[in-house]
Amino acid sequence: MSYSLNFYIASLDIIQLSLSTPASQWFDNAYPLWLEIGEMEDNENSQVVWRNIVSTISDAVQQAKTDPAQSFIVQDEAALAIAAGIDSNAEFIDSMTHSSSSGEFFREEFLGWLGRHNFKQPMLLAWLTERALFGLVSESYPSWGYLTLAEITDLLNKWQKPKKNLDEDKEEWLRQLMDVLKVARMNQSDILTVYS
Amino acid sequence: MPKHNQSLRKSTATKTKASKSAKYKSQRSVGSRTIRKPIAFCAGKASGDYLKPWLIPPAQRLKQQILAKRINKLVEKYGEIGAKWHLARTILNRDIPDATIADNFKAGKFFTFNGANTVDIIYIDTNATPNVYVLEAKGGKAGFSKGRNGKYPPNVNNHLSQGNFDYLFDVANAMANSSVPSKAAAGNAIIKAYNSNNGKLHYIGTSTKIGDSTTNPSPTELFNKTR
Repeated sequence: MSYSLNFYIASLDIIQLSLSTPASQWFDNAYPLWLEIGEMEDNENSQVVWRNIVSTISDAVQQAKTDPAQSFIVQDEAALAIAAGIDSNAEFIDSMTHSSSSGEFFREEFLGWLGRHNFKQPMLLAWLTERALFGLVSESYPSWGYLTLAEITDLLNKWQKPKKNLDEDKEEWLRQLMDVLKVARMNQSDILTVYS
Repeated sequence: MPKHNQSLRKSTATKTKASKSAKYKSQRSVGSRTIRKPIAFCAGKASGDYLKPWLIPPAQRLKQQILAKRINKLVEKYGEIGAKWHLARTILNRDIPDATIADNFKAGKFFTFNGANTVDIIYIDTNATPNVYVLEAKGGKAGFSKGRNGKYPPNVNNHLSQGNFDYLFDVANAMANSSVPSKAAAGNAIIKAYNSNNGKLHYIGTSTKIGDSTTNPSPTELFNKTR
């Protein structure tokens, strides 16, 4: 149960505006959780690191806004900041979990396979687990992704039920994924994910 | 490297050190999107591996691969090795071999489980009143968990946080209802230990960070609870 793909509903437009504005409430809300998951104390040193992270993230998002082809690999404390920001600001819906020994099974044999065969969308795995968020990319845990409302609608329209019965784990994940997509469509919202 | 990207990478002392290495930059394809390729990994099954000083050989090999290219599969394996090492060497100072695929669930070995509703690793010692050790393993910076909504009494629809016994009890019930015999047996063993005064139930979470090429962080405990 060590790793989870967490789903949130939020407006991508608002997130982009928040990420490109260092003084935004989005960052203020993220700071306490960033300290907690990074196992850090709230002291002068942490505050300096935080200000540096906020500044560099917002610079990168502004750069990506003017040149959308740009992407920036974000790691360590900066990646935790984005994960903490999403969790602190977006509305959590559900979490798909897998054990440490079944990461590949979850990613390739479930999300990858399901995307290709049942949603007719080979990018589904990448979109949910490692998609550039306004230019910000994480190579490994924690990483993030998103689906726009248009993509969610398209996925649900193209959805085809698997022809064969799935095993109990895939059944559980599929039920969760379908519920999440339907909740987002009902709320006319984009989906953000954090994979950690 | 664009200035803004360099700035991002300098956000931590670790990355500052790493960014000085040309080899590191070339290996990591700094500033560009990378495509993941699977790297073959043969887990260390040799008896006594988890009693060796950290970094034990399989973890050392993994760390080098992760530093070359961060791949979740490797980070997950690294976290798993760290959790087993922590129990075997740091807590119990006892040689614990990994179960093989042919092993039915039994005491004296590490068993790892696949899937959605399961603990990562379980070890039951060979005492007459056995102690049950449940390990949750995190690798790299994956320290963030949202927990789960309870599915079994007495916690149906309650939000349960990883690291608490009510969370473990709910997961154990899901395992006990699995169609996979070894998973069901492990779930029942956890439930029995949870409900009984015979033997203890230990619930331990570890995080094994990667560090850079100059540091060798050993696993750290996120929680360690006994019932």
